[in-house]
Amino acid sequence: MDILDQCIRGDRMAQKALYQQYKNKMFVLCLRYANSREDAEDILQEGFVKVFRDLHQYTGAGNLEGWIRKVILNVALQYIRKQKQLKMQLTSDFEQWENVLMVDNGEESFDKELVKKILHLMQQMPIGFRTVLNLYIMEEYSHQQIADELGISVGTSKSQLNRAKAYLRELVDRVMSDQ
Amino acid sequence: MENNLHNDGLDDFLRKSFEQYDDSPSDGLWDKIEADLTDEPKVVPIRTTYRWWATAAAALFLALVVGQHIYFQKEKTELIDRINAQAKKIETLEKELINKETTEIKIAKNNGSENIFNDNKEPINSETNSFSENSKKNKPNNNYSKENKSSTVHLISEQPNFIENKNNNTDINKIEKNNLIENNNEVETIAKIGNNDLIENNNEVEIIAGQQKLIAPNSLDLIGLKNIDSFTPNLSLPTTPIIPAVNSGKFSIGIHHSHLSTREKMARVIQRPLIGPNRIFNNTSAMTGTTQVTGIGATYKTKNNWLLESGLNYRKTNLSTSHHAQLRFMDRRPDTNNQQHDFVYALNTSAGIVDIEVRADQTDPTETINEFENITINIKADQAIEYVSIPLLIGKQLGYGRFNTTIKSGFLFNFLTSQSLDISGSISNSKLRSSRTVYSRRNGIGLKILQTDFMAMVGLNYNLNKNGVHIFHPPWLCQWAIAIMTHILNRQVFLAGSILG
Repeated sequence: MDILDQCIRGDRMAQKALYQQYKNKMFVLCLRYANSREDAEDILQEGFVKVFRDLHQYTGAGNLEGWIRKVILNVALQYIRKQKQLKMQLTSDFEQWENVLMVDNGEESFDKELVKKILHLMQQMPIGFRTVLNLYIMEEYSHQQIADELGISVGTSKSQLNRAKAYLRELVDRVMSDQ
Repeated sequence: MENNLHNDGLDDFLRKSFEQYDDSPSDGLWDKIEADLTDEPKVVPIRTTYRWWATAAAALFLALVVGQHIYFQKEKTELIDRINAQAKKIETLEKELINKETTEIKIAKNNGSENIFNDNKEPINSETNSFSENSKKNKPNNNYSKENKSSTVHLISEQPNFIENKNNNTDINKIEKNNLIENNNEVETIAKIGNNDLIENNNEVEIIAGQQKLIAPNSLDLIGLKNIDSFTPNLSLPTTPIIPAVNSGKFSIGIHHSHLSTREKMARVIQRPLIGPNRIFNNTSAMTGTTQVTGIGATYKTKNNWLLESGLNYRKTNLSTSHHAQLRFMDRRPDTNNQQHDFVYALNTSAGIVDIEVRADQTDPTETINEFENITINIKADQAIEYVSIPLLIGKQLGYGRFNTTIKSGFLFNFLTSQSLDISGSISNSKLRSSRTVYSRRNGIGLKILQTDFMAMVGLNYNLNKNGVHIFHPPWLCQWAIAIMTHILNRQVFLAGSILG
């Protein structure tokens, strides 16, 4: 019997196997949207519960990973909406970011550490910046799709993306120069 | 990587970086997911439960109100169907009657016979008869040729006088399928209605009326049938019964009494002043009734506040129906006794359909009743119906406080113990005086010995003291149930007002 059928039937072993297969990739997705690691785990938990409960709706069209990603992304967006902080306003938390960068300037291997720091930076970004940045770059949403998803205008989406990129680029520069 | 960041390659940098990045959630996360996947029943707060029951109570109340409305609509529809069916039946009878009174016109030649074919059975004076005059002009010597053949044409006498204004030739042209034979410009028309006593008249066109006097349609009267102009059921709120009860925990017993009054009005108009049997053209009915229920009830309450209830009730319903039928004298056929007139009315009662014959005599036998005389018939029927009822109900008490609510539903088994029927009738017209009213059961379904009703009610309880020993129990919504039951009861006794020929 296919592992999907087993999962649909409620086989815990099969469900755990599926979870193990995709948990890391999905966790990274959650990290990009969440404010913290704990929140990311909450999103991942709720997301996989939803995946297993709705798995019977997966028709086989498209790959399974894409379907799971979509489910968990929806949970992440719901999480963001619940935050009620989705205000596309510039924040003057540059100093805070800087402090974070200084603290996290460790001695781990280059690539992974940099990405980890960027992730950490993103988590500290205003939620609007972070969400637009993620949806546009990682999920490859158009500005129109972002506007529809978040209930904002296309212009706001574009401006927030530019500001988020500028902030991120500047902060990454600092990290690089410190190294 | 640095170049990527500075050369607008941030998008690709981030995308590739995150795709390659790997991170794991904490080890215990699966256990949380597994726990969530296990459908553990959630604890429903009491408040939610209360809301559910409140919703149920509201839905029940709504169902009662809507059900009552639908019930009355259905009753009205049934009434209309019934009247339509009866009207159709009357119409059929009427056509049959008309067909029987087909006019047979015979054109023949005659030689010197005496005319006796008028209403008065007297010879028509040719000098005063326009047709005779015309005929005379055509045939001065009044002689028919015996060699001529005769033929017969049947006409429906919708317009019995249609020949009067015609001359001989026109008559022939008007008659369908005329196999008329003319001889020497002599045409004679003989009308035959109802009998075979045909006597031909020399050289004259005559109209022979039958023995029965037919009343021609009058254009002033509307042709058509209007059914129910209005039907107004009206439930008056009854006196609120107070049910004191003694409660010993599981068992409680109490007495109750309630009083309900109802009032309904119905009016319908039938306007068909065609020839035929008696015809009402305006009928108004009104009903007033009271229902009193007195009884004793016992309730067993389970730990979960479920209730099982039964008892013994005495129910008495008094109904008074009055009918005012307005008709015109021309709408009926006078009987053989021109000074005595019968009007038959059909009334649905608890004992089935009852024919009510209201007989009236002329106050002055020498006076002629005008064909357009307005006559009003008043019929009053008083009925008393008594039942002994045994309810079997199941319910639920909602709440535990001093105030709480009870919803109940179940069946009520009604045993008919007695019924009485008193009918009187009269005629209102200065030229007529009522001589007597005769009524007899014809057919139809009366009340059954056992009648089962479904009932539902909502009651409000108030505990006089904390121990709940005494319960103040005014189940006000119960009255809606009683009202519905009463109308179910009344349905068979109120659908009245049918006139029979």
